[in-house]
Amino acid sequence: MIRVSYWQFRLPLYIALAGLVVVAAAAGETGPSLAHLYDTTVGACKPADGNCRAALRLFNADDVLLRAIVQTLSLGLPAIIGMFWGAPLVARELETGTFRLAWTQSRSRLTWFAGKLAVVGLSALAVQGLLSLAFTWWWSPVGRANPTQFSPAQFGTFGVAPLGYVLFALALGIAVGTVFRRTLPAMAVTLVGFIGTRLAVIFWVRPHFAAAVRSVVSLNQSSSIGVGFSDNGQMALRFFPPDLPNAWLLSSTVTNAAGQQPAGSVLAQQCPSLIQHQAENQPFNSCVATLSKTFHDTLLYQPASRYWPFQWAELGSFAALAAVLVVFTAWRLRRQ
Amino acid sequence: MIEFYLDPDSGVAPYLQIVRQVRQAIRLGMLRKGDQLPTVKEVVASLAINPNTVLKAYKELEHAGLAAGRQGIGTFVTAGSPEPVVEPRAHGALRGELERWIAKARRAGFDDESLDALFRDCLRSARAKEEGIA
Amino acid sequence: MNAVLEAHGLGKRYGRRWALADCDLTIPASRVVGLVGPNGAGKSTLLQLSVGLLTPSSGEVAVLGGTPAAKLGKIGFVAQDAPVYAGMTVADHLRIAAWANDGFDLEGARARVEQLDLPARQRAGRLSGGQRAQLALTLALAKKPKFLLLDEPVASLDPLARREFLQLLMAAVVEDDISVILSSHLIADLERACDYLVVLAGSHVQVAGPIDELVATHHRLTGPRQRGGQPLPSGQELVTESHTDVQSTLVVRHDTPILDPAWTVSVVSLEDLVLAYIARDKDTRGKREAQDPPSTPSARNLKVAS
Repeated sequence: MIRVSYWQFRLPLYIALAGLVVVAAAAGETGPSLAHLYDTTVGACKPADGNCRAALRLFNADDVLLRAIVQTLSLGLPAIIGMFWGAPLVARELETGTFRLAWTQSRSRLTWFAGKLAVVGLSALAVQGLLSLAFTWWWSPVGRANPTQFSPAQFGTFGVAPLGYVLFALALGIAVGTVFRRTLPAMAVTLVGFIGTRLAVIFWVRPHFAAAVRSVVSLNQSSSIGVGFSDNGQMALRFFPPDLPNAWLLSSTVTNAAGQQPAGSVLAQQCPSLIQHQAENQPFNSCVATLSKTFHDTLLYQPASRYWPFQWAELGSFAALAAVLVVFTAWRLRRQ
Repeated sequence: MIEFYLDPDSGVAPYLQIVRQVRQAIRLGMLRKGDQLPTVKEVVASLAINPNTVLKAYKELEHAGLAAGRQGIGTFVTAGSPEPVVEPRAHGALRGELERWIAKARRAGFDDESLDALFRDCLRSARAKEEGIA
Repeated sequence: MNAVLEAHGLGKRYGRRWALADCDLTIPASRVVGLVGPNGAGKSTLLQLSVGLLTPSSGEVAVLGGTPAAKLGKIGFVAQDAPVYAGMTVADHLRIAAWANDGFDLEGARARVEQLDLPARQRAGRLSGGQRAQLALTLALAKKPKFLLLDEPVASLDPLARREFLQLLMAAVVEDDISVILSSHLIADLERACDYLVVLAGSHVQVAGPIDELVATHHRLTGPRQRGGQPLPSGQELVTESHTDVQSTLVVRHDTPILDPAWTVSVVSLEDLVLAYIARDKDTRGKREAQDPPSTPSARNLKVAS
């Protein structure tokens, strides 16, 4: 049934391959200039000269639209495949009645399903895989300049995780299509279900792939500190956690030994001169020095070294979900 | 070669229609002794009827001595001449009986129309008995 | 006896409604069976159960001596409205059917398609209803099946398309000795091609048998008005009756000859025979529903008091 499924699927497959060629060509066009830009800005800057901040800003300001497109495409492709390749797979046949033709040839329903799954699944993996490869290569200068690969926004865009997403989206589309028996509602539900699951995994599952590393740092190491006023006129200090390149910071809490956060009254007490002289550095620094005797910053994070194990865990989780959905669909088809 | 047709509204069984068409063709000289009748397959493919219908018709024709099947080749007409005419003496006797019956019916009060209706009804029943009832 | 289709207590339920119930059928081989009944009587359900598109809610069905799934390679099926893939060409349909079936006669199918003037490069979605039906039948026949099941194949076809479809079908039947069952809600469509009849009404089989035998054992009795309630002699079974103020008409099934001189006996056309059984079912259901609300199917009471 592989031949049959391939023959029926060849038009969408050719369109996808054509799209892939276009994207690859565009990436090949624009990638080298992006790398060149990196080399001449961030790559060439020297921290000693103090111009690295400016260089970074210059680099990041270039062609924001194109970068947004790359990220959107990379994030969106699994959902698109799930909606346009997955949802109609069974639903279209049920909707148009052609299942009465397909399931009365000499092959069993499960054989028919396996053939379709193999052709569409492999195509999806190939398309997503090649696209991810192209995008990851294209993005690498940006990643070197802004080491945020582990952040929730970026994690699912590159690496191997998208392969898991595409398998899941496809399996979800197929399962929803089998239950709903109509293509359009199935597409809508697939999209919602996919987004919902992705978000759920980001917030509730991914942080637990490994126990977070707990680290206590002195306030002096904060990457920056800000002063603000709360609603009731009280002064408040905000401590931005230190820079952990390519790590995933889960939380940063400033507390004293007893676990209490600095209240406005404490600040007023320990840093009286700050209230009048906010803009000046000296009272600021001495305030921080004072506070750091009693307060410290507790960080919970996943270190950068765990990026690839997490990528594989994410791929595995979504692939497992996909497998469950496929088994469910097979059961539903038999039961018809 | 003769081409058959079917009249689904005639009330006559399809196989009999085929038999009658063959009889008619023989009577009119369109089919002569030795001519081949269409094969079962040809009749079925053109009329879209059940093959058993054709088989039954051809068997009936064999029974009546009008055609004979030759294994592997086809069915051929065996009688070229028209069917034997009714015996003339039977004709006269029947006529006399009929006249006496009409007189009887008139005495019982039957007019032309009721006579006609009664006759047609009896003919229909008789035909039904001939054609079907076990 | 080799039966192409055997059903025992076969039934299919959707929620509380039985689309088919208590179906017991044994259909012998080498027949062209007409499955007739009003819309919603269960014809489609019976056929789809027989090819494995539906699973029975009760009882079982066997085709060619095995389960539908096991015999799929030897049975051909054309569903109602002859579904085809609108975006695929006629030639593509033949190609993938050849891949999906062992022993598929691709050359024969191509020859037939040409004979029928079906344009091979045309998308199936652009074919007329008659052409779609012929394509579907060609696909089914090229499987070289022993048993062909057709669900209302000519229902939406114009008279010419209908005739051409039946010609294609009957030519194949005679050539390859295929057993066929085709359904319709009009017996007139099928009469010329069938030699076996199954009447379905109210989700139940009303009568089944060779057409010759049915026609020989059913007659219409007309005569002066009967008071009604008089039982018929044994060996005779009332199917349906109607009365005017002066005349009674009965349709009767009988094993023995009808000798009562009070009745005028006449032939019942196949159409009237079917209608008589449909009317009987309607009467029986009406009387039963008046007595108790519809629940599970019960055994049929064949002797109807008037």
